Amino acid sequence: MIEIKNVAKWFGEVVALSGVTATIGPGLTALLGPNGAGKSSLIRIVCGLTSPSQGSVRVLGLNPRTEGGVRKQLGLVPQQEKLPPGVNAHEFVTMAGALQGLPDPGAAAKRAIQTVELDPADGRPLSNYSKGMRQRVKIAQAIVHDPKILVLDEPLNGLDPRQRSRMAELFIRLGTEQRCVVVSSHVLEEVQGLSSTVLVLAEGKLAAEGDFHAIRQLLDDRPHRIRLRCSDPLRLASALMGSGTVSAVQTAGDNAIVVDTWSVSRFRHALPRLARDMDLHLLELAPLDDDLESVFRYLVARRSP
Amino acid sequence: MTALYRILLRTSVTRGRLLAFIAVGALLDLIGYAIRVSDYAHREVDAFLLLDVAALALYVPVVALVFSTSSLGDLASDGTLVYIWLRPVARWKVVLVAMAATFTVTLPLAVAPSVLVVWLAGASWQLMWAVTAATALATGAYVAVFTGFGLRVRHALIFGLGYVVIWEAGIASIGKGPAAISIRHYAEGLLGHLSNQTLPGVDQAGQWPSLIILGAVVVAGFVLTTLLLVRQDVA
Repeated sequence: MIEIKNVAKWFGEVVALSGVTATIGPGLTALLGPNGAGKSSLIRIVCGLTSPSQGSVRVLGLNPRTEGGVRKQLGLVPQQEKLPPGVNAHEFVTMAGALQGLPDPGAAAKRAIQTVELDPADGRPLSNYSKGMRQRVKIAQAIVHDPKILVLDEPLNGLDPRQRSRMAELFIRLGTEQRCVVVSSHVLEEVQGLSSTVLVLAEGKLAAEGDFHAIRQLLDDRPHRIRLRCSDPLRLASALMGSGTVSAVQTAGDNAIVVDTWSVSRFRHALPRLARDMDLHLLELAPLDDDLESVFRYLVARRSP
Repeated sequence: MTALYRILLRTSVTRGRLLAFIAVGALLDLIGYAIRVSDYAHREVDAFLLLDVAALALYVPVVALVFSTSSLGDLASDGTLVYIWLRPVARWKVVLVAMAATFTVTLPLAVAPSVLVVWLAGASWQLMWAVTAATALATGAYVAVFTGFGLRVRHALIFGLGYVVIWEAGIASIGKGPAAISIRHYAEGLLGHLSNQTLPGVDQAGQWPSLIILGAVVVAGFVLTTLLLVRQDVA
């Protein structure tokens, strides 16, 4: 449904995307990456809102920038929060339906608003809505015409846990209806519940793609750096090296050592046993590179020649 | 397209803008009334000058500038243009609706005080008709120019004000050359011919050239704005 071939996008000297190639088929696909990874740029290119500086994108076999026919089958939830002032949800979604050429845009708007669990009769202007409600209005305007391709840029931002769960259910349901649903997120756990297919973007490059569990494995099977504080760090360091669970150990002052390990699970099992056998007191255990950005950096470095 | 028209109208028309222009228009009318109650013999000439300098050169273009640049320009700058741009609607239709919505609000705001100012100054029906026609066409031309300007230029309101004050109200009144590329010059030409009056010190354009050029500006502004919208990078 969506073919992305060697796409690059730059703004002056800033490279937002570089050599991204991917094919997205029916079902729900998650686009995962930290802020600034290029997710929104890729989404804008896929929706034809901007041209790629290099490469090409085909959506349903058409160029989304130049062939307007795509827009009949495309729904987008953009990232920006702003909505037109002075109109209520029903007017706004009705306008979306009318511009899509629906025969009864008012009725379609009512259905779409009810789907996102808002009240179509609520006459308040959108500016009076909470962030979560505005987010749901954005989803309603994107699904009002029942598009084949639905692209959602960080759609769960601003929603409370209950709303997140209900919206995630909606996206999953939409994805099972022979529709192509692309959801971007920078939160790994959010994606885990949504989709089995994941594209990981980092620093403008496609860092990984495939089944969520394979990606999760990839994220776990990488060197981890952990800071340990205990009553006798040198003895512990020697024992850890002897156990084969760490690849390097450095002293870090203040009864602390920093260890590198390729297997967090083995390390996790070995450490308490060693501490107990050696009668050591563990005072602190802190991962130093467990934020998503460092994980993505690792994936990019791993892919680079 | 009615839904789009309503939304575009509500986006650009704010209470603050309306009140500000109604107040300025009322001030112009007050000056017109002051001319009428004066015992000056050439009241109609004074009203004509007031209309030219204050209304055609400043008030009308500024009204058009404020509403036109905010029409598609504000949507582009705050990111809400995406909700229109991504729909399967011909770009020329979007531009046409945007200009129609802007014209709906700018026409009464520009024409009413201008006609009232010459009426209060005691002008003839012929002059009032001439003012209506010239102001309406000038408003249309400014709307056509400034809608695309708002879409393309950041801080279009500031640059547009500079253009109005420096070019339309200033340089264009200095000589024949600069005047030939100002909307005001052709609005003056139309006004002069329709009212059978001549502005002192003004080299008046002919009636038909004025009509044709103002019409051409409307068409060119519409076409250029459509091209800009087609090529627009949407946030």
